[in-house]
Amino acid sequence: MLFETLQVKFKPMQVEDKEIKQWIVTFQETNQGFDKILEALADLIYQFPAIAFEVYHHDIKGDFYLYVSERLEKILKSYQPLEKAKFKTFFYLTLRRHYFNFIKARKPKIEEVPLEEEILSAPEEKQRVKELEKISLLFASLPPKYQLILKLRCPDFLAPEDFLALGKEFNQKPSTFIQNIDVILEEAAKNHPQLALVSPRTIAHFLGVKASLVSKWLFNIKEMAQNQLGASYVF
Amino acid sequence: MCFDENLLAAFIDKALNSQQEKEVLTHLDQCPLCLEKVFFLKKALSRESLFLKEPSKVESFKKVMLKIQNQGVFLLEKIKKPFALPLEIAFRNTHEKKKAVQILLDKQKVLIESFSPQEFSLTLEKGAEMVVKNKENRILFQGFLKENSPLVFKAVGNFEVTLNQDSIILEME
Repeated sequence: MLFETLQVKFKPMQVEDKEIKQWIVTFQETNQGFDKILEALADLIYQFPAIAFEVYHHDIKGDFYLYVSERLEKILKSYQPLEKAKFKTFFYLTLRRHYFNFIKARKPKIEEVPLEEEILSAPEEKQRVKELEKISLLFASLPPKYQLILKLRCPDFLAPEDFLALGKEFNQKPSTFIQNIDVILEEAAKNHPQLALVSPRTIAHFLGVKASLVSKWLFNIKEMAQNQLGASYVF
Repeated sequence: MCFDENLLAAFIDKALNSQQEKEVLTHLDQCPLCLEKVFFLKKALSRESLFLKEPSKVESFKKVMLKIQNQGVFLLEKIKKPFALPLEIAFRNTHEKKKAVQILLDKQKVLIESFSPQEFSLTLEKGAEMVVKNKENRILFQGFLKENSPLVFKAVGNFEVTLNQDSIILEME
């Protein structure tokens, strides 16, 4: 019975924000109610490596769950509730820091396993590696602005330093872009698990330029891909 | 100086007053570290919805139990040494009122329940020759334990259960 695998929906938090904040305040003042807080946050902690870092391995998620549950009391004590701010937002940031510490602590245990030659020498794998190399070369050859447009089109590849580059390229402060990035991320998440592409219109809205201009840039990238690689790619 | 996690989280949730928000924005223009944190948060919060579409594999308690089972089996098979399990952690996550943990030992399920910090019951799925020792290495039980007949015993701190050649040490932290 205990090992039965249940298909339950992932719930980021099983209680309302207001309620968990109340539980935490009670815990901070009386040390009571820790178990129910842990239970409410269990799914979120367990899934955090997958949500935040695309780490799906059950062992890592399980180990991280144990790592955090041992430190949760301290995390809860450090929380300062604010009426309009959600506990979950604070908790994600805290989990991020703990995840890095967890990885650091875990690192010596990870053994390096050499890649098996037959995997790499499989014809379809060789072909895939070649394709990826071509795409990387094409990407590197693009002007910085086009690289940024492609990353906005497919925000999985967007990195924090790109906000500084966006600021330079489009004469805006990086904070303006980080403040508005939600429109890009939300559209990509909506299109998942199909190709998570963001429309030229949304990119244009984000950058404060005309949609036709973004379409033109994407068209140019496509042409460059065709000329350089002789292949048609979906941009 | 960088802002702490409470303040950055409040910024994301638009819970700061206009003066505080302005200060954070000015800081973000100069600090790649905080910029990275804010971007991380926004990305993680947007990705969360992807997980709402997919069922998670197990409930939190079962997840921990599965992890323990896997790790126990892995270690027992690979290194042939007793595997130490922090019992307090395993028990802390139970959803049932009765605290219980299930492990795999000698390819069969062993259910260990705790009535109090010093009182345990141990049930075997199939029945086997078994030895239970306390941390001073004193034998608490030795003999054949029938299937589904709980063995109730008292132990303070660690105890070791051996089924044939497989052992597990359960530690109370």
